[in-house]
Amino acid sequence: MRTAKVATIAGLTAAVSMVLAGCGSTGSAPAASSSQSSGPLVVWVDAPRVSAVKAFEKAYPNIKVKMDIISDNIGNDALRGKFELFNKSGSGWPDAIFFPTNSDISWASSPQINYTANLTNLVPKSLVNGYAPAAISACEIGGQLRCLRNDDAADVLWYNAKLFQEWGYTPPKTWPQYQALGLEIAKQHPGYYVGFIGSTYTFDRYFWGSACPANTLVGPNTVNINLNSPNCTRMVNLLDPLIKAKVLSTAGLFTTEADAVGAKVVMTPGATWYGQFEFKDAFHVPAGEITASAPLTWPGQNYTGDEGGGLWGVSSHISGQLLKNAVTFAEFVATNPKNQVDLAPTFPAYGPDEQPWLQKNVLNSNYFVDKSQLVSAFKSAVKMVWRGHPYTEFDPDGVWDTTVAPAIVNGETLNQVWPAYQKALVNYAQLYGYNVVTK
Amino acid sequence: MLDNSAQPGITSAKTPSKNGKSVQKRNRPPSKGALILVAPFVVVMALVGVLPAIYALVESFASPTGNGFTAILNYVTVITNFRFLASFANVGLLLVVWLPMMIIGVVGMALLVDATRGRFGRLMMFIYYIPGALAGMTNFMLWLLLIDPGVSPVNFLLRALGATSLDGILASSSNVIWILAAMLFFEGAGSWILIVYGGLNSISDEVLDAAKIDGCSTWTTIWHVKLPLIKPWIGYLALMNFAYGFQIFLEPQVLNEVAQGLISPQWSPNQLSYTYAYSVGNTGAAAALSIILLVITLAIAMVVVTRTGILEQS
Repeated sequence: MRTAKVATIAGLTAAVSMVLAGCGSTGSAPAASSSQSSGPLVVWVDAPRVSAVKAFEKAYPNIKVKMDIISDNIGNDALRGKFELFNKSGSGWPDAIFFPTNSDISWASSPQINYTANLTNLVPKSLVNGYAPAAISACEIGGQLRCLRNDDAADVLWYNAKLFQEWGYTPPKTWPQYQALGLEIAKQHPGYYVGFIGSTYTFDRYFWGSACPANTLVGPNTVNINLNSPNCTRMVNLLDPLIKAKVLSTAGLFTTEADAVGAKVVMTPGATWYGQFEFKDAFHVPAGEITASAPLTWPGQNYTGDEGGGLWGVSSHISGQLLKNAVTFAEFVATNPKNQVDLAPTFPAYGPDEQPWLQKNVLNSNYFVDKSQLVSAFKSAVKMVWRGHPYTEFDPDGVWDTTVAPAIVNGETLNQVWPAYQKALVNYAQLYGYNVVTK
Repeated sequence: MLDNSAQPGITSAKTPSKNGKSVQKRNRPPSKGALILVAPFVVVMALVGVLPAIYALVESFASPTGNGFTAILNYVTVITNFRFLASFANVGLLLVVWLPMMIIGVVGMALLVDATRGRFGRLMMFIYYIPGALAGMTNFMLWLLLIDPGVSPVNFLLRALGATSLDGILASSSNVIWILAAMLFFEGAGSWILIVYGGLNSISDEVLDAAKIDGCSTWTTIWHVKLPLIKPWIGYLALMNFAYGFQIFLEPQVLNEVAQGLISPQWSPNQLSYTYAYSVGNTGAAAALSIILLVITLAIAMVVVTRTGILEQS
């Protein structure tokens, strides 16, 4: 009887636990080699890209489009999971997609997922040559063109020209000048900020442009992660005094706290989209105050960083007319002025669209001041993005958010948290299957 | 949640029959009707519980490349992962904070309601239940609004405590534990008070009257009569909530999104498993971690079941 009771208990607890444990697995399998050649063009875009799809439908009424809207949360893992499942089932892939997170291109073009088609021979050479080499390099993977760049998010120096004039400052040109002015502002005008050091794009903003090797590809599937490089430590030593002087806000860029302190930002390095999306829309700085100057650089190194800038991919699982339609779509949304100039709020990566976009969004705008300086800052920045920071399956900026950002909020210095950040980057690189060198 | 016949601890082993003779219930084979009633559950459980578990077990021994078996390689991969111990430590701490809060809080409030039967008791029960009436995630989103000093309607309280930003609050790992514990308590307490109150209601008046005649005070009655009699309910409460907390996924996952990445995407073991399956693409390792979670949950479930007599007939 006792045995029977124990067996009943064991059976029932096992059953309950199995249900509770929610065990499940998707399994993995190589991508199926099915190839669809006709039917409506299925495109996946985030909400801000819906107008681009509508413009395409208007320009190409003969191509039937089926649009699905995907999450635009940066760093969202769920997208890759969907493609894992599509590979397993052998169907379900969109014919073209806008990747909300740039590092998505690393898994989408990996041998394991192998979603994005090689566009090298599918799009005209002249179109590729229209991009600045630094802008299209994110799509050049293993010698193949695996995507088209939507917009360019190179870093420039944004500043409040009205405050600069009132206080008698001139915009810094180099990082050491930026630090010196930051410390001066801390002393003379406490409560004002010269940048953000919290979550989202902070690594990209400060360390990418400093040519800090956090994920530099040095061989097939091998990355160099060396945060002890002088290129990294010079920026650490530059930022720590600014953090201590409380002129760098610890707020994450997309938080309500950043919006609250935004009006007190005197200057900050930032992407080309900061003017519209941060200073105007989030910080609500009045018109007639904001402008940008050329990217901050280190003496002898003409590099800058990059914060986002979307990518368009085409499916490798289609052929025939459907593939042609998908390529036509990608070319249109990435480069055609009907989208990139007339509709897109972000700075186009495709060179020929730059000037008309700047004319419409900067020179004809009442919001910015010192417009010709801003225009030349944008144009020079897109050519300066350091190419040693590719998109990898682990994102140094994402690891910054979980490792460095909380430590700074809790009062640690960058120098103190730096070894932990190096270790975390190595751990994440290995988790995603990379070989790591640290030199 | 519990139908009366399955409620723990209230079915007598010997039930008087109409003619006054005792019938040995536990030795009687289940009737055809009982089998029909239980069949749909068994079928669904086999399909969505047992089969996936077996599939996960097989997958956990499969090679990451999809060819052949790897013995325990996937288990070694998972156990040596840099987030493995940290994620278990996180849920361990959460359980240490939240489970006692849940058990003491729920049983305490159920006893309070039980002690004040009548209109006031019903009113208290309603008030306790209100947070639980919001569906789990809605409750969670409400909490996110409450703890963000930028938008919270009670931001004066947060500022008085020295909090100026959501980032500042979530950057502290101990704050995350307390916030999750509080969220989980308010998500679940209302429903569980109803269940434990049901247990207290099942105690017959004769027993309580006898306790009173024997001179038991209110406290003695609670301590020596009511609590021992509702032990199976408390065990059930502990078991279900342990399982939820141990395998927590949604709450830290959403918190991670809201916190702009300040909280690790592999905060809990289940999130680590998710990362393996959907981000790294190593489903063998994800399955191995699922099996580890299953075994631990099973072992603890066994202990709770045997210690509290959830399935006892008397």
